[in-house]
Amino acid sequence: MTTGIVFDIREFAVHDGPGIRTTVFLKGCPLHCSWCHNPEGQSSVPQVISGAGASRVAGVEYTAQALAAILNRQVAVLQANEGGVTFSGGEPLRQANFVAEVIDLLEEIHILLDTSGYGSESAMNLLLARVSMVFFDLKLIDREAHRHFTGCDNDCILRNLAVLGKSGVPFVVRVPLVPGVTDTDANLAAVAETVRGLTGLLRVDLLPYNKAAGGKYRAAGMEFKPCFDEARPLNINTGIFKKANLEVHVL
Amino acid sequence: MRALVSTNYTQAVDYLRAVTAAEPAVAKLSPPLREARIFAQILHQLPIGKIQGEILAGDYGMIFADNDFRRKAEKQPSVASLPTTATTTPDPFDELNLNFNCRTTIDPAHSTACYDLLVEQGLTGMIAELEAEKEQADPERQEYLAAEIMTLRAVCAWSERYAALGFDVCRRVPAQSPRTFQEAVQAIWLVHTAIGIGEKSYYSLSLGRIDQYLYPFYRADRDHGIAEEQLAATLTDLFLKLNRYGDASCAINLGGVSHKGKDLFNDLTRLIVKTATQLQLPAPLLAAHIHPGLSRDDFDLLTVPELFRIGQPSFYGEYACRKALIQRGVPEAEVHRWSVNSCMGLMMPGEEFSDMWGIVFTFQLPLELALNRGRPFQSALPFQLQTVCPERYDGTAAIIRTMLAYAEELIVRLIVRHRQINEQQGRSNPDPYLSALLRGGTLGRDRLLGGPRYHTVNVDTFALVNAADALTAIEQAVFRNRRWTLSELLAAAKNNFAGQEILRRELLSYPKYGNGDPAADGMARELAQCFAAIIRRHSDRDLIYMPSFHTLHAHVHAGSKWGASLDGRLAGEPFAKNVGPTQGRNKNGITGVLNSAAAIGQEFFYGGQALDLYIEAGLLDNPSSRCKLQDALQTYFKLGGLQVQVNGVSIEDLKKAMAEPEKYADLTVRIGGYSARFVDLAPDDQRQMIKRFEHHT
Repeated sequence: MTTGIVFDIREFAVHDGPGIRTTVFLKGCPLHCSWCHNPEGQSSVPQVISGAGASRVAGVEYTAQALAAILNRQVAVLQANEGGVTFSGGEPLRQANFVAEVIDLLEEIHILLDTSGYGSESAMNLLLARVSMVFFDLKLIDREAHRHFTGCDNDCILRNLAVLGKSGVPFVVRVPLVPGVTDTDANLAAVAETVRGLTGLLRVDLLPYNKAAGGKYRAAGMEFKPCFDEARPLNINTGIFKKANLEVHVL
Repeated sequence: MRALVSTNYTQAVDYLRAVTAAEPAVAKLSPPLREARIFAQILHQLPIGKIQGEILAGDYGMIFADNDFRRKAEKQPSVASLPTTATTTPDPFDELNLNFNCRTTIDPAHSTACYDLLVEQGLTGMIAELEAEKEQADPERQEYLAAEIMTLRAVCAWSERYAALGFDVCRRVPAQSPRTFQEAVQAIWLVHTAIGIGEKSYYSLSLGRIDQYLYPFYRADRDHGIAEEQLAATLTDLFLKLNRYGDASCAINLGGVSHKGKDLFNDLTRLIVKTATQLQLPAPLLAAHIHPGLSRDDFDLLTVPELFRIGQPSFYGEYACRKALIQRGVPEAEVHRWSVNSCMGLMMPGEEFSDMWGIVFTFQLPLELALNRGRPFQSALPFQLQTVCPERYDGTAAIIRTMLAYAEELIVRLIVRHRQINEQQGRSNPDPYLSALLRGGTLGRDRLLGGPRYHTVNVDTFALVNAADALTAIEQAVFRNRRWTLSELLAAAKNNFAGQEILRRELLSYPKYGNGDPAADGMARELAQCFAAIIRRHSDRDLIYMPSFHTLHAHVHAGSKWGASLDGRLAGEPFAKNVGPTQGRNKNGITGVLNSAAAIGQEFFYGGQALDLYIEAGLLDNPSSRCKLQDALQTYFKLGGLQVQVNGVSIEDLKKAMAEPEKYADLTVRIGGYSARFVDLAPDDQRQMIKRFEHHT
């Protein structure tokens, strides 16, 4: 029986795909992005989150059957609105077998994979065969910069992006705009160049960095050490994407 | 602001009531004639006047009194607005209420008069109908009809007094049928506000399907070139008056579906919504009828931050509510005329007396009796019950059987008592005025004694969800996992779980209603359905007792009376609110709440109930998110939910969550690109966020 570690299940997640969705956050991520908004999703083991007075454990082990049963209970609400289930993280590719088994047990419903793309090609293919849509987080195109700010190079990410582009599954590329890191014109132009022409690309979403991330680090007993200047004004340059004939939204 | 002008009307009304009632000639009259005379005298002498800027007539109160009236009124001791119903002391039912939050009373007002008839016939036409009936009635009804006619004539005469002040429109209405929008609104206001005087209670008097029965007047005026702004000014005046007199629970229905399936959201509905959005006042309550055919543009008008900030509107599932009304006996061919009554009741306007708090029942009591050999955990019952309680149980099924037997015995006692005091009130405290405005039953009978076509009595059920959660926990902890004995659980609960935190945590860890969990929801549904069947068994066509989860905010007070319960709730903590889960028990968000509430089978709880949803107010700023909220509401109604009250997260919620994080585990806030549980944030970050909310609101 396949099991997986989930650090949160959020209902009525209105920003995680079409319609009304329930988002499952898979625990564990190989990347350690300096700006990560879900630090409790980085470690692959359960950990205590201590907020102001209340503590809870982030990370519950589910069997595929148990998680599917929870999600199937909501099908009436999710289906009626053309919504569905989003698998996010952490990084769902890291628990691809578990996610695939859960999806196989779900009733007919829209499935969205929200991934950084960091994982094996086989994991990517395993899930692409089962999902209706993908949110693909693309941060930095420069290999060295990627390694510097996320702790890993982007070879497999770009490879999986190409796999996605050939799969026929519709997808959205999401770019977190981090001041001085990902929001540079050079990086945005590189992103536009990389994604342009990929089959299935619906649009590019730009997600401006928010300074409140630090609070979640403290709650998770982690230190927030951004290696960039948080106070620097963001460069939200949608023109680069429009010029490349790409639909772009700022969230 | 004009709405905030205080006219001190109750002092003037109470004074006139007291002096008129004390007149020997009045005191010796039969109750219907006595009440009619008092009503007429109040309207005859009530200080009236004009507030600067008002278009509509119908302001009254001490601010318009001359010195002589003022001096006399101020000498008069204040009188209770409603005569007490208790006839014997000590009353065991008082004790039942005091200790166990189970009670019965006659709850006045809460009605919607036959305004459609009023705008069609005027009071003169309605009087003529009563006169004709009087010709053929028996002496008792003849006398009552005479009293009714006297009250309607008194309102006509009252209107003449306003005409003398320069309100020319009052020369025609409400005596004659109105011709214009302003005349129609004027007629409705005078007739409406006088109900509070007749009922001796201004609570929750509603205006029903105003956007339907006033629409022909609106349309005709617009077709004659009258500007929308002019009609909006009349509407504004009405809304200001609603805020000046009575409470804020005057419901105005919005939209709906005709008997032919046509969407009824019209230009007047839109004007009403825009006017209320602009005024930002507590009254009227906007009760929106939601159905699949409602256009996205009209739904957008109803889902704006400006309305959500003031807790408006309430959403009602058109077809789910119809289904519930049909369950209680409303004919299918007529049910499209249904209306919302005050804060959540479903009713047939102009034909129904709604006793909204007639019976209050707290489910904690039968559960404790079943678990504790026929005795409550604390205090003693004021009377002996016949139900036999087993010495031991071998499963929850037997506990449920015993609990329901106790529930039925208690409900029967409350219903018998209610019938007694209803009869007594109808005879001794009649209201011929409201009775003349509620039709469809027997003309010439009081509103409590068969005058209206329907007489409904809510059985407002508290803590059923807590009882269901307790039984789910017992099932698992005692009978399935065998980790504790029932006696151990009882001892711990009676002692408010002192020194038993591990046990309490375990009880809290079992599935709870509000998360879409089949075990927890199934238990709640079973209890709800069985309880509804009990109430139906003791209901008849004369008095329709209606199961309801309606608690309003009283779940907090009710919880404060009770010790700890086996769902893990501590002594004094609130019970579940309305048809929602107990606070803090929903873990992941609103999808589970919607699923659980729909799983109850609400059509059998036709007394009506709200589901409170808490969302981040900022959600409405984004059109796509707003659509999703609208879709969620449509889905809930499709699944059988009756009513939703959406609450935007407020600064107050955030502050409370900082002080009591355990109770707000599910409070979610959006921080730029992501959402977080508020309680997960460090205090400094929480304070920051509160500041941010303060800045934005």
